[in-house]
Amino acid sequence: MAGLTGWLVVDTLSLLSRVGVAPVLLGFHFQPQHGRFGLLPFVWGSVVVGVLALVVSVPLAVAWAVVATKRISGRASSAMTTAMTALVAIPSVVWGWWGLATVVPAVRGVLGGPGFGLVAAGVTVAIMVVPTVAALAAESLLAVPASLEDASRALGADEDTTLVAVTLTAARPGLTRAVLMGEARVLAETMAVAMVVGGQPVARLQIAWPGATLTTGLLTHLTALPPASAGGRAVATMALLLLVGTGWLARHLRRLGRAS
Amino acid sequence: MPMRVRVQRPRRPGPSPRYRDAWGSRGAGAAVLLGLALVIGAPTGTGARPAGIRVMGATSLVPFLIATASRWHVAHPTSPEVHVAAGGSLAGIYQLERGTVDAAASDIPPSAVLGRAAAGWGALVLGRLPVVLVVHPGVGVTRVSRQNLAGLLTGRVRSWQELGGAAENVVVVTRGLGSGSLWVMQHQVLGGTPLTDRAVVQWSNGAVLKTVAATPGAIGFVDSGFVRRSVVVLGLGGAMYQPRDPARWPLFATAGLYWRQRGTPALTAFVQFAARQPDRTRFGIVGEEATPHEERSPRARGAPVGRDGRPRGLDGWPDGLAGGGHS
Repeated sequence: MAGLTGWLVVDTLSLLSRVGVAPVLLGFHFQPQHGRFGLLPFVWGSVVVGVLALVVSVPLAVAWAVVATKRISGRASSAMTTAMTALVAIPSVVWGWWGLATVVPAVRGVLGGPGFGLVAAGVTVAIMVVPTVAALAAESLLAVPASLEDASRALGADEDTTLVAVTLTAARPGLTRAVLMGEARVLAETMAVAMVVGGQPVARLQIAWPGATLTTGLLTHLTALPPASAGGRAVATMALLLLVGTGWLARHLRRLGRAS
Repeated sequence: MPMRVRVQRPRRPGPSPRYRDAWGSRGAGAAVLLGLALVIGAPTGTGARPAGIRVMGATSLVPFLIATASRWHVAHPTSPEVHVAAGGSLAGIYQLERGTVDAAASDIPPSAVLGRAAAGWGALVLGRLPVVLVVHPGVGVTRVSRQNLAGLLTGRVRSWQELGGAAENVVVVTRGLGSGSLWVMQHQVLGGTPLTDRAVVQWSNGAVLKTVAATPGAIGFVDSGFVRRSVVVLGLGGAMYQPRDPARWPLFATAGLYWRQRGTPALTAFVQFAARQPDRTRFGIVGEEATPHEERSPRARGAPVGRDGRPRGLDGWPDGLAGGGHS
């Protein structure tokens, strides 16, 4: 791992010294055949897809976990938990296929444009990570001592107040960890995103139009750009940025683990 | 009186006695399986094929190469096996330059990418790969001029209505960097100008075709062998692509098989075998007689080159794509 990181750092420094820091990190266009190596489109794409996935997936996943663990019991609860586990195991290429068949036409119908884009990618991976986040959230909800909830009810709080003021508050570290785990999966996801994102390495505010993320950029340019070239070094810089992003998330996960 | 305290050592984690026998028999079973795998997986003394021939490159040539490799295996059962991998023309050329494959299948000339580094490579031109324009059936246009095509692909023409078609916005669907058909569009139609940055980039001919068929207002380009009824083929100027007479279509890539200077006898034999395959048109490859020759440098072809011998201007990819150049 250290060797890989070292190699990526060397390639990145080589690119930055040759092309410049601003054109690489703040450049709006990635066109290696025209000498433009801006990586902002990929960073922007990853951020947009990550935020969209958070916004869409967290309410759905937490609601699913609450219903499965606190609102229903018996066979229905067991069926919901089994469904979570089963959906976690679905390969991302199948989610991408689903996104291609349903999300892309829906985005085209609602927002116009070709349908392929950052919005389609964000919604597809959001639905993809819902079972993962829900399963982890359910675990943390089940870990909340029943005595806390009983005490809340004994004080006259109704079920909703108990859920919000006691259960979710007590489970917050676990829920946050679940969300960060889901976000890490979103940032690292390649196949499902690549199938619906449109693959256009341009940073723009119209997020319904084709874009690219760091992972899809790596996937599509790794074989097309030789390692010794400036383009190849730009690919290494993408990989380093991705490592830094996921490393930052992992650090927060560890901190949460210690706190809880 | 000192009190004696007996400290009980914690038991080591492991299988309980009840399961110990089962663990033991599993271990023995695993050892037997490992042994069997080693015996079965070991190379046998007789009848084994020598090291394989690795071919990588353009996805449009992969069906032809796989069919040729199958015939090769039947005709030469003791010769090296041929392994074909897709990845795109550029990937094939770069992997050949690095020596990780034995041959590259490409619809971009290696000398246009590597310059002098590719001079002296062996080359077998398989023929022309017509690149056909396809549109969504609802656009209401069946023919465009070169100027209009350039306008569509660069984003200057935003609606099909501007060309007398339906009131649909134009959606350009293209292949990614390193695709031969994109190279053809950029060099034979756009004169080096990039496509619109609103184009949807797809990985393969099949994905382009499906996206064009499913997206209202879409226009794309695919190798002729991939055209299906789900899309409308667009005419260009006075030309219309006809499967029975593909040689008259003006947009095409030159498909070739390339190898480094010292090809092995097995590789040479395979190339000659590929050159003799008569039914290349079945795979969308048309035109020229396939004859092995030597790849020439851009300078030898009369194309503009830089001081390092690498191609410059429209004939090649500029510095951002150029590899290390070791050969």
